[in-house]
Amino acid sequence: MTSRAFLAATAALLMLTGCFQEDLPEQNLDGSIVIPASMVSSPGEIGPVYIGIYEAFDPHQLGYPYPATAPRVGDNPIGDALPYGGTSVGDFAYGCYLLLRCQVVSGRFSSLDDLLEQHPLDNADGDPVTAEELFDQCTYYYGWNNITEFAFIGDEQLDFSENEDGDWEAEFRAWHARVPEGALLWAFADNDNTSCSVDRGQINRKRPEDGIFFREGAHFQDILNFPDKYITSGDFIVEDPTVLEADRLDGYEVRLDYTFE
Amino acid sequence: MNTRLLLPLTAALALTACDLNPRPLLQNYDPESGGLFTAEVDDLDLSDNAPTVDGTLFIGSLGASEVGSGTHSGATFTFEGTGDRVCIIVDPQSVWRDDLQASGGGESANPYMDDYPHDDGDLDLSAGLASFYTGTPGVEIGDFFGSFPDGNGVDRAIDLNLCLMQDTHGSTGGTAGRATPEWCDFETEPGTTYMGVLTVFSVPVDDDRLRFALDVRSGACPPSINECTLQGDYDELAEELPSGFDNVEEQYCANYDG
Repeated sequence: MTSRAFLAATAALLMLTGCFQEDLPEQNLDGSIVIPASMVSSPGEIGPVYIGIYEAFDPHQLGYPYPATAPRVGDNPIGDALPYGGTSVGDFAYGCYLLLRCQVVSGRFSSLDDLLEQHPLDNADGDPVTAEELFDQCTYYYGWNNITEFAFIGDEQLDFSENEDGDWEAEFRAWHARVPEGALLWAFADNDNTSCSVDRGQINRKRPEDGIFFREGAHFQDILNFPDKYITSGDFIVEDPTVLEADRLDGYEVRLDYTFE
Repeated sequence: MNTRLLLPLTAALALTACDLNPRPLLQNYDPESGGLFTAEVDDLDLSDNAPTVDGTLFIGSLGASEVGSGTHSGATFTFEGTGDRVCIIVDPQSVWRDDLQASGGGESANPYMDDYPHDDGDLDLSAGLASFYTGTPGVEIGDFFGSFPDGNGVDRAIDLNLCLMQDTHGSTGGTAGRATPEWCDFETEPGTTYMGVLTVFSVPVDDDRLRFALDVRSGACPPSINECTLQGDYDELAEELPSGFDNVEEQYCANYDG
């Protein structure tokens, strides 16, 4: 092939990529969640926040703000909420100690001291674990040698920041979701980590050395479908869902200002 | 330029010399005719001992699904709701276990043992209101998926399968793997017709037939179900078994403590 022919073929290929348009109905939806400062004093108190895009709202079925659901099937106490899509702000991270399994949420702590203040635990001698001990344990467990390597610690990883009203605000992106006009953004914050299963997640990385088997813990799979299974006392809920507008994919705000009792 | 053209041409010609018939690799390959078996869909309601609630144990066998077209083999049966829970258990045969039993627990002469765990069949169990079933008994295997346009004009899918099993992580929607029993129980409305569906995903390669035992009983399923809960899902063997056992499953279960 001559160089001229090669160049022509390459140019044609490049032009083709510019014409490619899938016209998929799924879109990315951007927005922010807001938790009033009166509800928490620090982001460390906020569990993972699950944000879903739902067909409609039904505050009467369960007696608290909740999406409308499909018909009940089988032994489920209520029907599937059938979200169009959704995401979470924060995810469960294994905190290097078994006692911290399903306790630590990513994007909440800027330092190990902050984490231990929120989740204090004792070492084998019955003394409180220090930041140095936690660092050493994480170095052993994950192989991290510098605090910048910690996947769930650091100022740059914090999800929440104070907005101009003094409330806690975090951005979210719901990837590849159906976003029909009139659909609702609804969310809840699982502050006591009910949505984490100790039977899920990665098998412990030091299994051969420690001689025990456990999983690191991870969220259940049906949280956006059946949020009622995971909403417990002290969780924050959106009381007034945000309505999606036609042809608008960003700038939405969702306020979690209802506390489930 | 000529060399660059000749090399790919030579490679392409060499590849054609390696052409093989892939059909024998398919589970529904018929070695006698060289063709492919079509999917086998049985309507168990037409059998002499059709499954009913608290009826007799049903023993049957099914052929391979058509992998290429995605057409499943399988079977369906109906039963009337009792107004209480109804339990369905299906146990597909376990060829590897049967081979071990036949060989006295040591080395097996069966060449298919080399393929373990690929020599066992697998079928999945589902059930629901007969009116929601999308297949045609005796003709085509279906499911219990439905769809509806929601309030925002979006077409939504909903699974109305009532036979829900938990996976090993405790999440609803699991299915058992090869040669492993599946079961479920659910509330039924009295006098309402329900449909049970067995969908074949693979069959043992020794004879391309998957035997199974099926039971429908009133009430909740027992807390523990294993290979010996239902018996009869085994191949007849020509050789004699030790200790006077009639079949490999009986021999296995005689010493099985659950």
